[in-house]
Amino acid sequence: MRQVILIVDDEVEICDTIQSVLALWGVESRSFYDAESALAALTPIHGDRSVLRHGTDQAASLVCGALLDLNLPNLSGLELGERFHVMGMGIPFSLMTAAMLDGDVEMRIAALRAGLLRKPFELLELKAAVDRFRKDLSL
Amino acid sequence: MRFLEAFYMTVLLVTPVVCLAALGRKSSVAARIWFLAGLLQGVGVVSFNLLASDLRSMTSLGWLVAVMDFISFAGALLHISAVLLDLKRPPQFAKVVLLSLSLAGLAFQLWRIPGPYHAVFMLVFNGSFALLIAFWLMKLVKQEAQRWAGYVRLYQVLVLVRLVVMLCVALAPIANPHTGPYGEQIVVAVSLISAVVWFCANVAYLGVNIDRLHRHIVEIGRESAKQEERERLKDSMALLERQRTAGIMSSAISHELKQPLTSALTNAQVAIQLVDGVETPIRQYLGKVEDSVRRAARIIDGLQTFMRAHTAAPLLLDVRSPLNSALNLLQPELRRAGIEVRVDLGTQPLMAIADETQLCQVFVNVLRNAIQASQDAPLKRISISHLLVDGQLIVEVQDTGPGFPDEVLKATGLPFTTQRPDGLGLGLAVSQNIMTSFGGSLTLRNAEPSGATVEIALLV
Repeated sequence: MRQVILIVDDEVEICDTIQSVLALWGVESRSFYDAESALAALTPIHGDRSVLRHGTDQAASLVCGALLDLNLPNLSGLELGERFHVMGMGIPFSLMTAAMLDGDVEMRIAALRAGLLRKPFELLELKAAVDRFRKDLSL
Repeated sequence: MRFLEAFYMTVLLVTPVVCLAALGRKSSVAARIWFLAGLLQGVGVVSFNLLASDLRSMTSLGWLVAVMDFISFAGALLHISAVLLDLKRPPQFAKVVLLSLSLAGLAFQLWRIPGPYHAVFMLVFNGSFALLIAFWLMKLVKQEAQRWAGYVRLYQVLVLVRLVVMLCVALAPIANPHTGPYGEQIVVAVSLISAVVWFCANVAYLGVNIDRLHRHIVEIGRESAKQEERERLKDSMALLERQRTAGIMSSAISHELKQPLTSALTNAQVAIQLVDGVETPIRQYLGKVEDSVRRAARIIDGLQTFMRAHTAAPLLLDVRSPLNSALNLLQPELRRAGIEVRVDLGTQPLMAIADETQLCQVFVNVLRNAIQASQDAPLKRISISHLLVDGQLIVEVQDTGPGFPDEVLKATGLPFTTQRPDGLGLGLAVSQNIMTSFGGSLTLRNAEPSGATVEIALLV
């Protein structure tokens, strides 16, 4: 099954940039601009995994990870990540943020074993996050 | 005797004029009534003394006596009205007119009464009025300026003495018509007493008015100072509000700026990877873009650290971290002012108890002061060093400016004390509060031969 990385950020420019970088690395990705539409497109499957159906043929791709912006409208990136965890979707994720974080937010991120990318992040940090997703999937 | 008469008349004429002049244009309506009444009585007495000896006809003398009596009554009435006005009990106009007319009528009837009896009547009336004036004057003094009470008491006593003496003198010819009306010594004594009586009354009244004027001036000064303070606080509040809004905006702008910076950095780094191994100057330019983006990000980080709301308790941290944030934030100002910064904090972490955000704010405030002080100095330099003394880490920030003025050194920690015309005087006050909350301190001193040093002491 094809693998895909979710990018959820209300900044279209960020989504496009990351998507083009991932494409360069040969990684398929799909962008969403809010948490609700991303969640609606996901379908949990057995084995604590999730698939994303997209395209005209509604082909399913296995979601191997998600890059979530922390400050999304309505449902935040952290809350979306918590939903992944609670709903047993088995999607590893990293949060991206341009804000200064409070201690309790950092603790919640650590508790979910999620990664954190502080904007503007280095390309190497993005690479490390993607590699972690792939590694988690292979385990 | 002539001399004493002249003295008496001079006191009567001069005292009200001098008192009115002393109060000047600030005198109240009541004070004007009082002193003009005194002047009226003075003029009356002087005129009587000058005219009476030249009059041959008894009728003319009678009329003169009647006019003098009326002036005497009117003067007393005006004196009482003035004091009542001061006591905020102004007599009704109708009452005053009616009383004046009655007194005028009485005065013109009194002259018909034979000499000794006329004198007794007049003494009783004048004495009663004088006592009435003394009564109200004492009330006024007790209400407004107690320290003048002595003069009023003296006035009361002397009025009584004068009344008794003159009654004795006036009654003597009635008992024995062959006795002369006045003994010369008695006249002298009465003139002296009258002079003192009027002097005391005028001094007491003048004193009350001067005290009142003084209180009024002090009140105006206080009100004016309060008004100035209110204006200054209003301006400060408006400035603080603008700064708060600017802070909120800069926080939001910082967040938004990081989005395009993220794209810019990622794209630059991808482009660098794409040209990796290719001989092209593009790589060098892309490297410059990458560096610029990183520097911009550091500035925004510093700004965000500075603007971050404080919630955390102080904890052990490396003091170099907030200092670097502050220096990053102030880099554009330092560059623009052409100021060299020498940091001598060693290579080892400098651990102390503080809150990172708040300590960053203290460094920003202190460094910004140093920048503003040094920007016009011949040698533009800020030196940052540290030392460990008695369980405290002391970070010293020294500039090459003119040093702190005495008033700032004396008023450290007091808000709104500033040496800059455009300054609010809050920076150092806020910084000192923050330092106190960490259990540390912030001390200002002037360096020799010039420059200012700020010592930031933290518990380790």
